[in-house]
Amino acid sequence: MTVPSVSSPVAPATFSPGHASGVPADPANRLGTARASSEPRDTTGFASSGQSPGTTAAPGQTSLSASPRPTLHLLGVGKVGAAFLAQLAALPIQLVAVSDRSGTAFARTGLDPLAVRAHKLAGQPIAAWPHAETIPTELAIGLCAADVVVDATPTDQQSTAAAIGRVQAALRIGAQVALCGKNALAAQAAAWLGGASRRRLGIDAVLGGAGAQLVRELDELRAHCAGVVLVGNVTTTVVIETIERGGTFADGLAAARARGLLESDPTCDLDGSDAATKLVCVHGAVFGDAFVRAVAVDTVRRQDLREIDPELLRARHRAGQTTRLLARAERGGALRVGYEAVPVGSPLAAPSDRVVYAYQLPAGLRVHTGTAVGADRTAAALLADVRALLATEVRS
Amino acid sequence: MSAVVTLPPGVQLCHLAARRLAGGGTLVGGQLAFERHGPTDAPVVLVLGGISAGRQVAASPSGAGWWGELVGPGLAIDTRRVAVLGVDWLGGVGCSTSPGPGEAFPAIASADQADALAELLDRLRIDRLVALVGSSYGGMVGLQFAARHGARLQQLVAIAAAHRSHPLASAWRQIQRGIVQLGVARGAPAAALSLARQLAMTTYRSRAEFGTRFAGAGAAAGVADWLAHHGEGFAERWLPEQFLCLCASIDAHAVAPADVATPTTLVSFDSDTLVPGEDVRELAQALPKLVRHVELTSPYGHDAFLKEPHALGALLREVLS
Repeated sequence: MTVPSVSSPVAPATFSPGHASGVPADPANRLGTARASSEPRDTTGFASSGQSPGTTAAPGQTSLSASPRPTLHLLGVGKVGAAFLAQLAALPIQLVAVSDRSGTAFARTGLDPLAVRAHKLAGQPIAAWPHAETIPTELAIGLCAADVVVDATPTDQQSTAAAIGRVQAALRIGAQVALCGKNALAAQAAAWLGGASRRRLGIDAVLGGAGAQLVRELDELRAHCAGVVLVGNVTTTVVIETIERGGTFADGLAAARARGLLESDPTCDLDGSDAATKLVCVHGAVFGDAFVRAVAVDTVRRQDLREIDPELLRARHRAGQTTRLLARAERGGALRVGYEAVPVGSPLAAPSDRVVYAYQLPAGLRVHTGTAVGADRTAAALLADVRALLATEVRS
Repeated sequence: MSAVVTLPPGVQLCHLAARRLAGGGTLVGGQLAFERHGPTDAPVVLVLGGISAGRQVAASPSGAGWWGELVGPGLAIDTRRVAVLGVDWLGGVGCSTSPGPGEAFPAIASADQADALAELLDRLRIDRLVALVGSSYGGMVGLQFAARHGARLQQLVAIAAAHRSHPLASAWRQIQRGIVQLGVARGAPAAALSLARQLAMTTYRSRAEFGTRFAGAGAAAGVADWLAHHGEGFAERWLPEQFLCLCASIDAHAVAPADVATPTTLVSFDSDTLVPGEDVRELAQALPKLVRHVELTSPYGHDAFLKEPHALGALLREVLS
């Protein structure tokens, strides 16, 4: 079993020089067009005419920090990204760039989040945004140079390498990064969270709303945690609860889909690779070493829900227990993901509206509960990360 | 709200469904921590105490238990015969969901605590309690539980609790809240919590007890030491947000006596100025199924529910026999 990773090499990005719906046609806000008549455009189309006349922007130099509001670059406008845009609209944060697989739209004076959202919900790619131009996403991150980069790229679009590249591109230019996808973190958790970049990276949404707690307590956990166990995949919890109530596996999947929890291909939920990836994230953060390659997700022993006898789940339920997909790791031990009987009074008997990440400490079991389940709450977790990151930046 | 807890061995956790609260707020991802003593297949007694009393009702390897003289093998609530549940209050100290430092937290009513307890019983598949024994805030919640989930309760014992908070008691708590709020605003939350608790201690006990305990020379210094001891201990365990949450919950408590259709035994103490006897008598007269109202004589004021194990033990043995 392997972690599905949809190949999405560096996306051809399209750059919109600030002529967006809801944005005044201010020449200073139209980086490309403002100079197009008098200057040759740079090959990227990211010349920073509006701010630095006569110069050509280099990555990291298209400074938007003069804006009174912090600036944000959103990557990915799937379900979570669209929900994020809806929530962002109410906040004093300036959306200056949006990228999807097709391209990047940019406006120094700001894009209207709701207009971008409507554009995507209408089935239009960002490439169809007015004045869009195409450059690689990583380069767009550098050129837009937003204060915060939010990577809400849908999991089924991202390859691990591309996801890592996006985060690294943002960190290189000194941006803060709020992350949603888990593949990049699984590969880089020890490096990113073990070092100075920890305070510039928000991972709450990656771990279902339990990531910020992990970061806050990471030093203690790295020093004292003996083992971790997590209930991180909500889809399987929905299916199990449905079967326990007498439904079928298909009923459970339908219930999860109705709640917006399923991707079009639920394989990574059902075969345990989603839970394994989250376990690798936590394992890397708590037990990992920045100089040692992270555990490969496909080496984690795991169980497929479709191999579990529904009658076993019902029998446990009748006996006053439940069943959960538990992902476990001990310090120095192997990682494993499997379906286990759980007493109803256990913190691991989490219902399907939350995830639980539990850490064994000398004083007892430290339980982190996250409720960032579904697109809206995941977007809220991303936004909470953004606010926390910006607050940190202000303090620093 | 805080979604981080450290569970010592033996502590269990009930994940609560997202809920609208009586005060209009919403609690998402709530958790109720509990401990269970006694045989797993025995009738269940739910034991609830004041805001400072948590899940640890009976003595165990991890501590004495706040009612350790009354709950345990061979004691008044005999854990050889019954199973005993104790919980940490929502919004309070312990392992249940509560506000973290500086966090906004929804108002938690005594009715919300009662509903959370009902969900705990659902989760544990306990259809009906043989008894709910609640003291102080626990008695208020017990009355709410009986009013809202009466079919799940065979009998209620409400000790030092009434259907509403007395206005004078609310006034004292208002001053305590003001002290804490002022302390938080001035950057001295622990000192403020300590001071608020010291004031609270004077309302928990009686004039007679103070007179006896601190008689003679050096009384003032003795009082100061005693208050400081209680205040500092409290401040070490509580956050201002938790104190404010449960303090407000007590003040907002109100239940219609006519809604409490469960057979109910009421216990009051003659020296209790926080829950005065006249309030309990008013409740007794209005309850549809009053078993009896026992008025005990004690010098310990409201805290008599903690300080009179012999009198309460005899009563509880009789009630639970």
